[in-house]
Order: sequence, then C-alpha cells, then structure tokens
Amino acid sequence: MNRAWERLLSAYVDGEVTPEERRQVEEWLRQDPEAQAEYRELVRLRDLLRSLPPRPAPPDLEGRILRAALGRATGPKPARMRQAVWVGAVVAAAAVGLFPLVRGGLDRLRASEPGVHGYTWQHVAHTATDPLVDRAYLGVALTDATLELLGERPAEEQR
Amino acid sequence: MKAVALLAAAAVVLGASASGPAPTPLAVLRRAAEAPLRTDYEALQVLTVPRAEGAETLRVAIWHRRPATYRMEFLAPRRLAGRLLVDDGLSSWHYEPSLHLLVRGPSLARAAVGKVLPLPENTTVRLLGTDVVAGRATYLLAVLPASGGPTRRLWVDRSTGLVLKSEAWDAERGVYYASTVTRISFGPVPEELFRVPRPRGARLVELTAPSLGARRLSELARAVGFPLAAPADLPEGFRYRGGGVAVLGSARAALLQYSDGVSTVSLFQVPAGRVGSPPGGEVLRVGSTVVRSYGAGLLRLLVWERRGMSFAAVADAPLGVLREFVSSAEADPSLEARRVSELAHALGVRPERVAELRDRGFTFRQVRVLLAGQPSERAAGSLTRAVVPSLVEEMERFERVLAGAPGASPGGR
Repeated sequence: MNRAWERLLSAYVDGEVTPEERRQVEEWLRQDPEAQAEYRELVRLRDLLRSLPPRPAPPDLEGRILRAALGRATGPKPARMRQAVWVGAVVAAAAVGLFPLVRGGLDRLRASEPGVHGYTWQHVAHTATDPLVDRAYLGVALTDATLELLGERPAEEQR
Repeated sequence: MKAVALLAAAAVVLGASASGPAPTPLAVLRRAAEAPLRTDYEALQVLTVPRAEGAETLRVAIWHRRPATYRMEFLAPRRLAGRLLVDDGLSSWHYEPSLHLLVRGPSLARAAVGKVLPLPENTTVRLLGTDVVAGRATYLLAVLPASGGPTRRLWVDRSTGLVLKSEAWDAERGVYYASTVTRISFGPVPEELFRVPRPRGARLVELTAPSLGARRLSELARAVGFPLAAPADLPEGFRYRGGGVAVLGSARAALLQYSDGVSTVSLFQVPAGRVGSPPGGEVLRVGSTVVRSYGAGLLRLLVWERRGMSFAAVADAPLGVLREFVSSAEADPSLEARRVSELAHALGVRPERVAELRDRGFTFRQVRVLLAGQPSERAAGSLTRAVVPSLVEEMERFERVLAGAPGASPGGR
C-alpha cells in the first residue's frame, strides 16, 4: 500500500475526505483485502485514541514549536496562534505517546502541511539572481508570501 | 507563433524610429543587468499582477542606492498601503503597519552585486527598436527562451541602462504581467531612507532561506538524508543551477533549482508522508500521475507523488513547462541505473562517467551531447556539436557565480 493511500485511508477513518475521495476509498476497500485489514486496524486505533485522557504538554513546548516554525520570534504573540499551538501540543503529545501503536495514521499526524506559500516563499527568496526579474515585483511577492506563511493578514484584507 | 509575429511587427514600427548606430541586443541586456551597480535613483512604479480574483494594479515608490540597497513603499491598493521593505543587500526588512509586524528575511538584491546568472546558449535576445517611457528614450528588447517559458519585453533606458518598463507574455496567459516606471529621478538618495525600521513594540520574526550551494545531487542527498530523483529530461533550455535544504513546515526537503536564463523552476522533493498537499487546488493528470495545481500570483505550484516521493514544482511558467517537470522526475533508482548503463553502452564510455554528469544535474540528453557531441536524431533538439563547449563553460560560470567567486560577472548572449 503506498503512502498516499495510507493517508487517504486515515483521513477517511476520521471523516475528513471529500465525496470524491470517499468514493475512491470505498471502491478500494471493496476490492483490496489488505486495505480492509488496514481499515479495521485504523478504526481500532482511533477508538483507542478516543478512550485515552489528554496528556499535559511540557511547559516549554509552545516556545519550542514557535521557534521551530518561525525562526527566532520575539514580542507578544497573537491569541489565535497560542491557541493553535496548544491544540498542536495536545495532538503531538498523544501521537508521541502512541508511537508504537499508530502506524498509517501517524504519518498524517506527523505530516507537515506547508501550504502553497511554504513553497512559493522559498522559490521567491531564490529568484533574485534571475537577470530579468523586477525588484518591485519580488518585493510584493516576498512580502505577500511571508504574511501567508506566518498566517497573518493585513487589516484591510480582513474586512 | 503569435508572440513572434507581434514582436516582428513591433520591430518594423519601432525600428523605423531608431536613430544612430544601434548597440547589439546583448550589449543592451548586459548594461541593463549592471545598471543598478552604477546608478542611484528614486522612482514611482506601477505594476499589473495577476491574483486569484483578477489582475491587480500596484503602485510602489522605490529608492535605490548603488550597489544593492533598496527601499520600497507600497502605496496602493489599500491592502498594501503603508507596507515597507528595506533591503540593505544582506537582509530585507519588511514592516507591516496594520499588524505592527517586522520580518527580517533574505535580501532580494543579490542580482545587483554581480551574481547575475548567464543566459543559456539557446535564449534569443532581439533589439526591436526604440520607445519613450516616463519621458526618457529607451531601447526595446525582447528575450525569448527556447524552453517555451515566458517571453519578456524590456524597455531599457538609453542613458543609464535601467529597465523602465517590462512585460511578460506566454501563450496561455497572453500579457500577464506589466511594470512601468511613471516617474524617475537620478542622483544621491539620503542615507536615512535606508535605515532599518525599528517600530517600538513591533513583533519581530526572522525567516532564513536555505543556501543553494549544493552543486552535486549526491551532496544534497547526504544533507537531507534520502535519495533524490534527478529529472531525466527538462524542457529545452533549462539547466540545473543548484540545490539546498528547504524547510517545509517541520519537514526537511531537497530544493533543486533549474533556470532557462529567464525563468526559474524550483523542484522540491521529500519522502511521501512527511508533507501533505496544500488544500484546494485543481486536479490534473500527467500520464498516470495525479497532480494538484495551485495559482499564486505570477507563480504556479504543482504537487504530486510518485514511488514514495512527494514532489512540488513552482515557477512563473506556463503549465506546459511544469508538466514536463512532472513527467521527467522519476524516483525509481533502478530505472535511473538502467538508463545510465544503456547510455554509457551506447556512447562507449564507463557508466561512472555518465553517473558523474547526472550527479551534476545534467539530463540524459545533455549528458549525451557532452560525451558524444552528437545527439541522437530523436533526442537532439536544438543542441548541436557547436553547443558542447559553451554548455560546459556555462555550467562552470553558473558554479562560479553561485559560489560568489571574484570576477564572476553578469553574463548573457
């Protein structure tokens, strides 16, 4: 079973697939005994996960995650970022605790989802050596991608 | 074809108004690349850029002090108004007033300090004639890559060499990008304009971009800890220009960059399962591969998986160019070994010689040309025996430029 399917099956178990993906998975489950076994195992692990109490996160986890995600950050942090970090911390703690048990699902828990701007930011940062690139355009592209990468939106765009 | 016809028509019209002996197109282009090294200026610039909801017109005030210092104040539209970017040649400092946020990022001024990459052999540069922009006399150049990537038109100031107007065109999008200087003045710019902004109480975030110093794919594979898939072939005119370790969220990915001299394609690779696809996007098929396609301004991102590897390609390029990257990135080591062996046998050389050139980022077609100087009828494309020495020289120039070697000067043809 390839990893794309593993992740899709894991998402299916959690009810996080599109209608088209749901049809793909169900068709696949009808035909593939290995997939059926994997599905049963994931359902069992999901039920096990749900039965466990939440584990407290280490006190310095927020700072470590923020530093890893944003480089070196200083100053006050927005409330929604703090909330996102704590949700991430609980998920990460549960994942680490269940490492030996959760197999296909762990891939998805560990998977990083950089978003479109995770790619475009790095691309733009390295195109300054193109001989014909326009500095003003680079400036717009880099600053737009930076804000998307940080999950920030200027006030004017929020309205 | 349409682009060529338009350019030819422009040449006839504009050529008639040219006066005096015209410099060569390459001389004009080289001068344009070097102009920021010699000139201080302040300017107002208007850009038209595609966005998801349609074209957006931007107004930017720019101050430049030679060789590599910039200040940009974004004036319009409202979403950008007040945004400030100061680049001191080492770092860029982006201040977003509505968020009270200061971001230190990579400098965007490297091209201005003598690290301009050379244009590949098969890029065509034409001088179409003369024109007037912001009240100043300009040469109008067209740069046409052989790759099928975007065609550029540049209006180059006759006196200073600065690019005062530019347009990008491709067959899919027509003219999709335009930038014009509406007012410009030359002369010293006050130093205080380039001071790094330090707004009291602002949040500071620092972002670093990876170095693209890896000349060999094996070197990069050691750095990221997994084997890489070297594209078997590339769109005409594209060359490998370097690689490095990229950070995608919490995952370390390999970033390989390819250039046709005008456009750059970034190819990311990471074992499948370590990154997920961004949400949304349009689903395409390239052969048997399912690909997700996303638009981001001028850029297009394609994401796909093959044989346990997750790939992503980003570029300001037509979809056709990116689809070729999808087709050619093969993550099967046994297939790579077999093709190396077959090509070595066909050329009568040791497989290690072919593998060594593959490791330097050459495609199989380029390896064939380098080792035989005589491409097969099917794979020849426009690469000919005459190209061979310059292909090697070009790669070596790339390496010197990327290494920042003294004497690595802007190039082109």
